[in-house]
Amino acid sequence: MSHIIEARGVHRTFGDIRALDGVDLALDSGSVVGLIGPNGAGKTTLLRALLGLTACDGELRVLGRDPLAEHARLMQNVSFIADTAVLPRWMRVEELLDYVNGVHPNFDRDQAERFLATTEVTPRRRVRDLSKGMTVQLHLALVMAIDARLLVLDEPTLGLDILYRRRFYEQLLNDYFDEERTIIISTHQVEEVEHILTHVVFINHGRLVLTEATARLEERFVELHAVGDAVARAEAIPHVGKRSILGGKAFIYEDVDRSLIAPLGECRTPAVADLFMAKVGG
Amino acid sequence: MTARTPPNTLFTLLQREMREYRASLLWTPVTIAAGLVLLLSASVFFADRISVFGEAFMQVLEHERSDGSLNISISVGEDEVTVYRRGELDERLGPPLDLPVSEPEAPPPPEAWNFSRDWTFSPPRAADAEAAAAPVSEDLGGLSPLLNVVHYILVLVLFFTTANYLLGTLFDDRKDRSILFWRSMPVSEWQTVLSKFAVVVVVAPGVVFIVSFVLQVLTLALAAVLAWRLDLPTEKLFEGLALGRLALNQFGGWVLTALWLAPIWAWLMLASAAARRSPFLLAVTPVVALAIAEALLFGSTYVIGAVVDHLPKLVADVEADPGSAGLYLFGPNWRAVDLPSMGGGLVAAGLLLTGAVWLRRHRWEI
Repeated sequence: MSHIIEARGVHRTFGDIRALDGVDLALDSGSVVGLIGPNGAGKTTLLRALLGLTACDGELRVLGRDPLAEHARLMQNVSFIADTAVLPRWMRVEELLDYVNGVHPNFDRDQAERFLATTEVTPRRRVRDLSKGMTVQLHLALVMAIDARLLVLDEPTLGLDILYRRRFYEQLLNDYFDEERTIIISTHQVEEVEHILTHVVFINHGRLVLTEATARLEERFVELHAVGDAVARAEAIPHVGKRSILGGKAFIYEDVDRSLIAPLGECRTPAVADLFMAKVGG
Repeated sequence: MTARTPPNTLFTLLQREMREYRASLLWTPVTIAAGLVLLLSASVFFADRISVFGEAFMQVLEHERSDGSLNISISVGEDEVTVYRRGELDERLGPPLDLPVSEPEAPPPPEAWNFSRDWTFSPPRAADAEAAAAPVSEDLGGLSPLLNVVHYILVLVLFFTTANYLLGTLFDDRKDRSILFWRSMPVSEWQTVLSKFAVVVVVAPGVVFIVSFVLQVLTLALAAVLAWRLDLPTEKLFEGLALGRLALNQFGGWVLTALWLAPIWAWLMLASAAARRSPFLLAVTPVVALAIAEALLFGSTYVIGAVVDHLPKLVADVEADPGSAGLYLFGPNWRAVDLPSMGGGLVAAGLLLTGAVWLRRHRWEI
């Protein structure tokens, strides 16, 4: 089958800055993709290009459509939460439901209301009177009631406390995600999404540094915790990153012969955040 | 994947606009109409100021006099409402319509008609009498001018509320970033921009016309009450009042106004879509700069002329000021329309709206 997202040589410059510098990407449905990168790496530009919110050069297809030219039609099957707190503040919750119900062919109002009934977000309240956590819940309620094939979340939980963040991802995974859908999450809080991702995409300086299924990370990367004399020997083996740990150092190797490093200490699969630090932070 | 309730995009978009701008597009005309009704009521019940109701009463009074040798003139210059207490009022009123018709030459006893300081009885002068009656054409007679005035007060307010609406409508959502939510919905920017334009051309004026209709009915009712209190023959007052024609003129006047104003509205929308700080300054500055540059370089005034042509103004005399945008106190004059200027404006409006759509799609970030 064709890919949900196909990008080839996508680039975009703002003056001298190359926000996107030749991005190639192919994603299938049924994946949960973590887009991970430092500030200014081009995450938001890439997501906006996917959503048709910004122009870019190169070849880009989302659900087989040109996102910029066919933005409105694309939005029937694509949902996104571009930022926290972008819901119109003057609106009442019920007015917001009226609106989405009125313009969106794939919106299930009953479902959104059922979801909201489990929260403190009541129909008569205005968005501006809701707390940040409740606003995000409201947005999630809207998005989850839209039968879309692609959901894009750009820092959806920024500024939320840990209870809301946990709940957000739990609900997303349990009540929304299935084989037919694809979710792209861009976030700094990698640890919180790590366990739900099927793919990771690392981006830095507008380039994709790593695109891999999380299942394959285990095969490709290994983290060695070396203490004492082992540190020097481990350091001699080409590694992609290292960091200090209690009493020694942790090294991350890519495509290394496991028998070489196994004697040097404890081996494990690196956490996504550590892997990201190794690949991007150096 | 089944479609649930079939979406009704146009209705939903218009509803959204009216909800966001409820205060300025709905409550402002309602409040002003209520204020006008209060003012008219005060003048009827406390002051018995006929002058508020214009020349209709005068005509009736004139009509009452068989020989027509007396001329009544009103000074419309001062508009303060005199409030009397009830007892005082009756005392002052006396027998107000005990007009000395049998003795036209004699000056009328002062206390007999001095119920309003605005009224003066003067000896007959044929020219004055004709001049006074002139603006009231046969089929627009009686209370029509007054009804037009209350209507156009509301239309004047509409110009301001819609200008304010247009300057804010493509700017506010970019400023508070809610555009990121609106653009996550399957609504094209053409739909968005045109729905907002439709609010200004159709929906907001629709509200004003409904409010105006109620206001005009109440005005007529108050006029009837005043006539009854002064013991004037009501049927004479309403004689020659062609309500259908009046409504048609008011509606037609709006259509003509909308055709004239379309480029101005589109320009305001473009400024709203382009502005990073102040849509108002962005709308005004280039025009002023262009006009000044033109005056300095060429000593001409085409820019200002073109803009003024499309700005609303009071059109009390359709012959002297033919076919430009305005408040047509005596109905629009379609035959006198400057078609090239209007057509040029409509083309410009189309281009400006296209520009606004392009900006919405490509340069929405502030």
